[in-house]
Amino acid sequence: MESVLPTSVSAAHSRSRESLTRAIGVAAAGMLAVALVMVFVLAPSGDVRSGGEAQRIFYFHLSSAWIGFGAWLVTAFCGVRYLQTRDLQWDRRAHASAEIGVLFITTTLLSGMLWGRPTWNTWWTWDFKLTLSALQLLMYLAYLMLRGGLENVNQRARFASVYGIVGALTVPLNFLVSRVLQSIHPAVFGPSVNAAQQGGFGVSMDRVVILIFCLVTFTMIYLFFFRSRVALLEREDALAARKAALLDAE
Amino acid sequence: MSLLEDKNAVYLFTAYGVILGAMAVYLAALWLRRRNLDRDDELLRQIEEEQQGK
Repeated sequence: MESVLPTSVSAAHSRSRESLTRAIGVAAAGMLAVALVMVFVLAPSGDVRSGGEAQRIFYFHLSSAWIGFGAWLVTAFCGVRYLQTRDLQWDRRAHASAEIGVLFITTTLLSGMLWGRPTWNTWWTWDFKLTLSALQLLMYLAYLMLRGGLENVNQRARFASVYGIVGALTVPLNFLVSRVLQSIHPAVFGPSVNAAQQGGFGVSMDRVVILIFCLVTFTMIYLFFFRSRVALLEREDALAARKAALLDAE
Repeated sequence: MSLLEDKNAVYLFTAYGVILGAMAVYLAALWLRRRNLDRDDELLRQIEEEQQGK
């Protein structure tokens, strides 16, 4: 039973953790408001080739992708740590990160489609990068289904850890696809030999500043969601342990 | 041309609506889960107290 219960935390420590989570949430909400002003008021318009005003979708699209793919890496890292330590707190972190990953990969795909329609004249195309991103969403969902299908806590954590580590291998692949292969998806940053990309644009300094702010904002939002979800998972496990103890006593 | 006059602005506003809406839904889901856990916690406490009283 010991491993089901969260690592012992005092009530005071728990309260201070909750205060920090709340402070991160308030900061993230404030930063989100500033980011929206930057995107809609300060950011330059895109040219017709990059979607005109729809080019502004780029800031939150890339930020969503940053969290969506980054969350996989966090899930994989937590999986490695779980396999090393067998501490279920790492499994809870992996679970929380995967759940948030589903949210942000979904918004990445949807916002990408909404940019693609005016720019590529299609909502969707079975390009390697787009297909791989859709596959990553399905892999995230499969990860959560795998967790839901296993009753044994330790077995679930072990299987999910291995799955999370293997799934994370698609993240660098997705990053490289639009740079190394011929893909319709533009590679806005870094070197690229992709001549098939459409809708790319020059990244001026003002765009970079806004983008970095949006990336930091989304990281704060991720941290808030992550800490909140981990705290809920701890409570769920603690309650499950209490229920089991009550049933044993009867 | 202003932002609102651009024919592609509808895609822009929809995309931001989708992203912000999805985050709001997840936030609401977290709140609901927390509320349900509070209720479960309270119920368990009552049962535990009853058992201790026996």
